Amino acid sequence: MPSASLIALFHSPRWPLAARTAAFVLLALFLAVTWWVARFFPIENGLVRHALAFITVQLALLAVLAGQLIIAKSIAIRSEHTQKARRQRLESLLTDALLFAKNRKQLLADCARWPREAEAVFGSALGCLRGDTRVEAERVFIESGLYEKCIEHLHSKNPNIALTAVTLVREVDRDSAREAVRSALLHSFPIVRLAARVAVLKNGTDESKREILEQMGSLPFWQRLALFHYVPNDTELIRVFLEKSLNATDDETVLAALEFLMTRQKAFPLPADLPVKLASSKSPEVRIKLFKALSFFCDARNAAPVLLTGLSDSDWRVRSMAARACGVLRVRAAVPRLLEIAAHSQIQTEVAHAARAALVLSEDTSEGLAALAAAASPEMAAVLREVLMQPLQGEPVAQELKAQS
Amino acid sequence: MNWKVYFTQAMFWYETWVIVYLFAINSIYFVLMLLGLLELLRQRATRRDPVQFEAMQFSNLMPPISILTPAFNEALTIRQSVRAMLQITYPEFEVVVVNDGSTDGTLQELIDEFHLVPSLRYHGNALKAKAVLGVYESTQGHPLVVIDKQNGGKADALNAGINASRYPLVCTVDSDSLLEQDALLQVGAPFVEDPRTIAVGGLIRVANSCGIRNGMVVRTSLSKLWIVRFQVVEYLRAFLGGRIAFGSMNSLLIISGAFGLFSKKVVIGAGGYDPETVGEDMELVVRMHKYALREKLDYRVAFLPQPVCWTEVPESYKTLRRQRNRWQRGTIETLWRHRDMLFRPKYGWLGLFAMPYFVLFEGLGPLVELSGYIFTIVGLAWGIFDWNFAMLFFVAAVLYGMILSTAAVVLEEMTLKRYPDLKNLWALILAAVLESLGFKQMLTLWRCQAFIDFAKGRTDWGQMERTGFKQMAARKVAQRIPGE
Repeated sequence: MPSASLIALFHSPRWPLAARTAAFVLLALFLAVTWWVARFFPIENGLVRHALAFITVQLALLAVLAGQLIIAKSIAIRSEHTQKARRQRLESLLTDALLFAKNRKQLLADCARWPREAEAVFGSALGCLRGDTRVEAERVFIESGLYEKCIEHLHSKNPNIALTAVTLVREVDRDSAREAVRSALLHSFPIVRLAARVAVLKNGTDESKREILEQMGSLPFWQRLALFHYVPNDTELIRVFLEKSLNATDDETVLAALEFLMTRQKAFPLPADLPVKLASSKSPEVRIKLFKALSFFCDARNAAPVLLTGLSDSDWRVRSMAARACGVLRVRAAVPRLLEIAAHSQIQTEVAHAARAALVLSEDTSEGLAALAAAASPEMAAVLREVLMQPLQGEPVAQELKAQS
Repeated sequence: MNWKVYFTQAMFWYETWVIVYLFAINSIYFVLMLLGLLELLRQRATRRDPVQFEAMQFSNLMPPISILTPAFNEALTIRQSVRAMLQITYPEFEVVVVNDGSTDGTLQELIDEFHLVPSLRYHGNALKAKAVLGVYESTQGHPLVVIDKQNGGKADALNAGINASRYPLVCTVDSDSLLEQDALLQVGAPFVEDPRTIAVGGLIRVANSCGIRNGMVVRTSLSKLWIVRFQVVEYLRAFLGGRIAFGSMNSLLIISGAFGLFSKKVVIGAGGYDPETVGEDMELVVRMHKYALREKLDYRVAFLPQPVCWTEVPESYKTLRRQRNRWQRGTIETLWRHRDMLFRPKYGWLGLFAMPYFVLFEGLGPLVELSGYIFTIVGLAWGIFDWNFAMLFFVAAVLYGMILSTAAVVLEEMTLKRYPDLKNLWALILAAVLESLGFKQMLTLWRCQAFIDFAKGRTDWGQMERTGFKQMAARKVAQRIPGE
C-alpha cells in the first residue's frame, strides 16, 4: 500500500510536475547506467561502444521486467487464492457464529490472524444483513477488535486507510460509532469527508443529519449528487432543509435544494410564496431548476401565476422548462401563451416543449398545431410533426402527418 | 572519385542520424510509459467511496447521454452490440444507431430484433450530413433510435447521429464493439466532477477469443492467433502508455472513434466530424482543442483506463493492412491540416510537445525507420558499413521496442490485471518480444505505403471483414437452421 505522503502527493496539485520530473529522472538514470556500462567495453569507436552498452542495459532491463512480471503474477495468483480461501473460511465461520451460535472463538482468532480479509467480510455482512442477525454481526465485529482498529484508522493520514475505516464504522449502529464518524468529517481529504457525510446521513443523529444538509450548498456538485442518494426519507427533516435552503440568499444553496427535489422525485409541502420568490431570482440556473422541480412543491392553482411569468422569461431555457412544467402541472390557463410560443419562437427546443405541453393540456390544440406545422419553416414543421405524432400515434392527425412526411 | 566519398559520408551520417532518431523516439516512449505508469498508480491509489458510483447510477442529475453507433454492413454483429448497449448501467441514455447505407441487411436485422417502426422524430441539421432516408424507433420501449441514411462514411454518419441526438453528451461507440456495463458511468463521471471536461476517452481492449454472453465480455482470454496477440500488446502500449501520459498533460490528440464521450455543444461548435478525412476521430479532437483555445475555454480532455470498450481486431493480414493504411493516412492528413499548431506557444503543451511529437514520431516515424533499414542493407551490400554497425542498428531498433512492449504488459499487470492466468501472461510477454521481430517492420512498410496513398489523394476506408463475436455467430446458425 502506498505511503501516506505518496498518496498526499497523488492528491496534490503539484502531482503533474512531480510525475514529469520523476519520469525524466528515471530516463536520465537509464542513460547514466548505459554510460557507466559503456566503460567496460574495450572498443575504440564511441558510438559502437555506447550502443553496445545501451543494448546490454536494455537486455538486462527486459530480463528484469519479464522476470519480475512472471514472479509477481505467480505470487499474486497464489495470494489471491489464499485470500479467497481465507475470506470463504471467515464467511463460513461468521455464518456459524450468527446462525448456529458456534465457532465464535475460532472466528475471533481468525479475525486477529487475517484482519484485512476479516474487514472485507464484515463490510459486506454488515451491508446486507438486517434485524437480530445484523445486531449480532455488529457484536462480533466489535468483539474481534476490528472495530477499535477502525476507529483508530479514522484519523489515519492515509486517505485509503481512513476511507476503509469510515465505510466499516458507518455500518455500526451505535452511538460511539456515530460519534467517531462525525470526527472524520474534519479529515484533510475530501474523499474521506464525503464518506463520513454519507455515514452521518445513513446512520447519524437527526441533528448531525440536519448539519450535513445545511452544508450542501457549499459542496461541489458531484458530492451533492452522491449525498442526495443517502438522505433518509424523513419528511420533517427534508421539509426543514428545503424551506431553509430555498429561502437562502446564496444561489448555490437554493440550487442544492432544487437539485435535491429533482433527485427525490417526490412532492413536499412548502410555503406557497416560494415559487414566486424563486422565479424572480437573477440567476437563470435557479430559474431553470425551479421550473424543473416545480411540480414537486407546488400545485396547479399556485403554480399558474409563476408559470405564466416563466413563459415570458428573457432566457429561452427558462421558458422551455416553464412550458414543460405547464404540461406536467396541467395549467390550462397557459395554453394560449404556449401556442404563441409554438408559433413565434425560433428555438426548436422551446417550440417542442411548448407544443407538447399545449397538446397535453388540450387535445383541441392538435389542429391548431397541425396548421402551424403546415405554415412553419421545414425545421419547425418537423419539430411540430414529431410532437403531434408521439402522443397521438394511431390517431387520424398523426396518420395524416405521417403520410405527408 | 569524389562522389563516392561524399556518398559514403552521406550514407554514414544519415544512418547515424537514424540511430539517434530511433534512440530519441524510444526515449520519449520510455518517458511516456513512465508517465502512464505513474498516472495509473495515482488513479489506483486515489480510491473512491463505492457509494459514489451507487449514487451516480440512480441520480437523475447525471447528464443524459446519447450513444451514437454508426453502422455500415454490420449485420453480423449489430444485434448483439445494440443489445449490449441497451443493457448499460446509466440513469438516462438513448442509443442512436446510424445505418450508413448498408447493403447487407443491417437495417432489417435491427427492425426485426427491436420491433422498430417508422418515426417522425425530428433530426436537426446543425452538422452537415447526407440525406436521412428514414427514422425508426422501438415499439418495445427501448431508448433506441435508428437513423437510416445515404452512405457518406463514418464521419458523416456520426454527424447525422449528433443531429438526431437529444442529450448534451454524445458517446461514440463502434457498432462492432461491446461496452462494459459500467463504462458509461465511468466515462461520464469526469463531466460531473470537473465541469471543464469537454471530452473523455476510454480504454479499447481486444475482444477476439474472449467469452461473450448476452453482449457482455464475461471471460478474458488471449487469442491463439499471433496477429491478434501482437495487436493486444500494441493496444496496451498505445493506451496505457501514450494516451494516459498525454491525457495527464491535457494534450490528448486522439480519442478513439471506437469509444469516446464528448460535449455535444463543443463538438457542434468545432464543426463536428469532417467527412472528408479518414482519421475523423483524431481530426475532431484536434479541432476541439483549437476551438476551446480560440474561445478561451478553461477545458480538459481526459483519458481514463477504467471504462472499457471491447472491440474485434482484424484476424487477417489483408484487413489489418487496410486498417493500418487508413490509420496512417488519417494521422498524416490531420497533422497536415493542423500544421499551423506546430511550435506555437499559444497552443501550450499541445503546440510545443504533442503536435511536434506526432509529426516527428507518429507521422514521419515509419519513413525514417524504413529508410534506416534500406540504407543499412544498401550500406552493407556496398561495403560502406561493417556488420557490427549494421547489427547495432537492427538490435538497437528492435530491442527498445521489445522493452516498451514488455513494459506495457507490466503496466497492465500492475494496475488493471484483466488477463487472469500465467498462461496468458506468458503468451503476452512472448508476443511483446516477438512483435518487434517482423510484425512491427511489416506495419512500418504498410504505414509507408499510406504516404503514397495520401499523396495520390486516396480517401476511401477499404473494406473491413468482420468475423462477429463467437456467441453471436453460434446463435445466428441456430436461427437459420429452421428456415433452411
